[in-house]
Amino acid sequence: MSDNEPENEEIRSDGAGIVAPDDETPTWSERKARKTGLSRLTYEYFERARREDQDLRTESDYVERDVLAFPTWPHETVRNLSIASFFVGMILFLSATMPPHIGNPANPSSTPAIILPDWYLYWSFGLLKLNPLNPELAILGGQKLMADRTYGVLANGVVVGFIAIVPFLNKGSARRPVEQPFWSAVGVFGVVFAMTISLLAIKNLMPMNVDLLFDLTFLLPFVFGTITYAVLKTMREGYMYNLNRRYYRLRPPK
Amino acid sequence: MSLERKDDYDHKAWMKKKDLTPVEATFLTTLIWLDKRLRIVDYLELLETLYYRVNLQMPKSHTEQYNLDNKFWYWYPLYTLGLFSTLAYVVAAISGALLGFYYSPATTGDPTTAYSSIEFIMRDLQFGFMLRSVHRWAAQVMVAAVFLHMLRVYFTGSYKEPRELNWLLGIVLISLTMVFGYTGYLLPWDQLAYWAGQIGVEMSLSVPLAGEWVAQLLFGGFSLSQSTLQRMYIIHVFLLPFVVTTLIAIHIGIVWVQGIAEPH
Amino acid sequence: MADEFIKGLGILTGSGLAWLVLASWYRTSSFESTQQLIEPLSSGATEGLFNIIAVTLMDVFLWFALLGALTFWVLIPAGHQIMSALEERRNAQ
Repeated sequence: MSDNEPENEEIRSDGAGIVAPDDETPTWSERKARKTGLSRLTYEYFERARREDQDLRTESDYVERDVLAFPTWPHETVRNLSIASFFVGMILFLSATMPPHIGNPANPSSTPAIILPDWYLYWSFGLLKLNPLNPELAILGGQKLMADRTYGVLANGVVVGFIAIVPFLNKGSARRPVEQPFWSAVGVFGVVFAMTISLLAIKNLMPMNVDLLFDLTFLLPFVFGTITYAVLKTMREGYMYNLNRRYYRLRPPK
Repeated sequence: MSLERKDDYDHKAWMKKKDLTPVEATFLTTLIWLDKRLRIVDYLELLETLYYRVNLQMPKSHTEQYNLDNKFWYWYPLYTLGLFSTLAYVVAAISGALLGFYYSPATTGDPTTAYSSIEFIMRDLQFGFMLRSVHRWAAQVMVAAVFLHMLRVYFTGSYKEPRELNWLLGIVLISLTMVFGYTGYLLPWDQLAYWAGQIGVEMSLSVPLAGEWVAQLLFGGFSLSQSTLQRMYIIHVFLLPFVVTTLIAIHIGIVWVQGIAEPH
Repeated sequence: MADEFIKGLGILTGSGLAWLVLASWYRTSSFESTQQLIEPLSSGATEGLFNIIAVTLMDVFLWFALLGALTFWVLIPAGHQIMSALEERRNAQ
């Protein structure tokens, strides 16, 4: 900056720089002071958040640099282009080698032996077949509280609802499965249950006893969930052992 | 004194002086022409300022902190499933638009017009068999990739603070993807489609309290008819594409703003 | 560990895809069959050089997918674990 320029040319951070700088223009803090209620709270929170950002920036493990991480060109672009063309090629390969068929035209008067949605809806279709689990109430003289199908439809809502609230149940900074054995076990339980309930949905295509299939549908998820929990818990203790070993070498237990 | 207007900043003379390649000259000419009319230099400056304000100081990423640069590549297949499903969505959109030229959603006639138009596409239309195959496989791949994407996010704990909202948005998206698949499954109006539609009507009738309204709204009645197929068609080719494309854009936008939850 | 993971995944998916395509050609009679991909060979599968090659490759791909994944996900990591355990025992003595 040369000497003959006026001194008030330096960067203004009070929010008054955009409009013409005369005495009438209120500064940011003046404007904040005039506000009441929600807008006042908003200004106050913004100030706090700005200060928090500033504090974070001055912390020691923050680095100054021009770019975030990988350069977009050529690294990211080449990677994305090659992966994109590979994926599209795979879709074309699948559709060339295994084309879909088309069944007989719709005929409302003849119910086919096999009624199925696409594979990704089997889990939902399977939830409609939970009739034996629909609770019977003794008060109503053994009558069911709701129709079996209503029960199945509500089960869909329960499953989706549970998945939706997972982030609000499982908090903390653990990321790897080994750091959170319980929630990984819940995940494996869910995956296995999705598969078994899908198999239950196509029970008339399955070459096995239907009652056994029904029992396995609910048993297998627990089995796999428990195994996952046990394995990950053991692995975690192994990690802790490795971490602690150095400590105990320095200070052997008496 | 000539009548020609004087240009204080004679960009043409400046360009002549610079001895530019044809590419550079074309670029500069276009830039100057646009800038004189639209003031794009102002906007570029704003963008540049924003870029530096946002990027100048960032925390170390986990790959940097734990020196995972090399390892991250090996896990990359699991971290690219979102891109995979987006790509499959694009492929399905393109092939679907082409299929839409030949498909007509009508239950009149025997076999129905809808069924016959699929038959026409598969048998008579040049490249139509492949086109339907591509559309169907793209849809299958998209659903599969979305499922696996959700599992990856779950098992690496990527849904945790501050990404809860994107997880909820993802659940909406996966549900809409399945609705996409279901409505598309009904369109050929073959036996499988018809009876899958029947189950759909019965399921929506079983929704407590609002069942009949839901059936009326989605299926156009309590039994399958022309209006069912018509509604499935409009949901599949008009309603969902707008909604899902917008939501995908928001979903990816949030990932962009929040950054990828990297493994560590 | 990550190297072994991606090698196993690559073998499983790549080879599995090739097996899937061939099995859908030679071991799937219809879309409503309850034994898709594992049926006995369809008639005419052993006629002609290309069919014979394809049927042979189908088995090769299947076993390569299974054994490859087993090798890279179980055997090699287990071997590493055993080696490091022996090493430690030797160092401790």
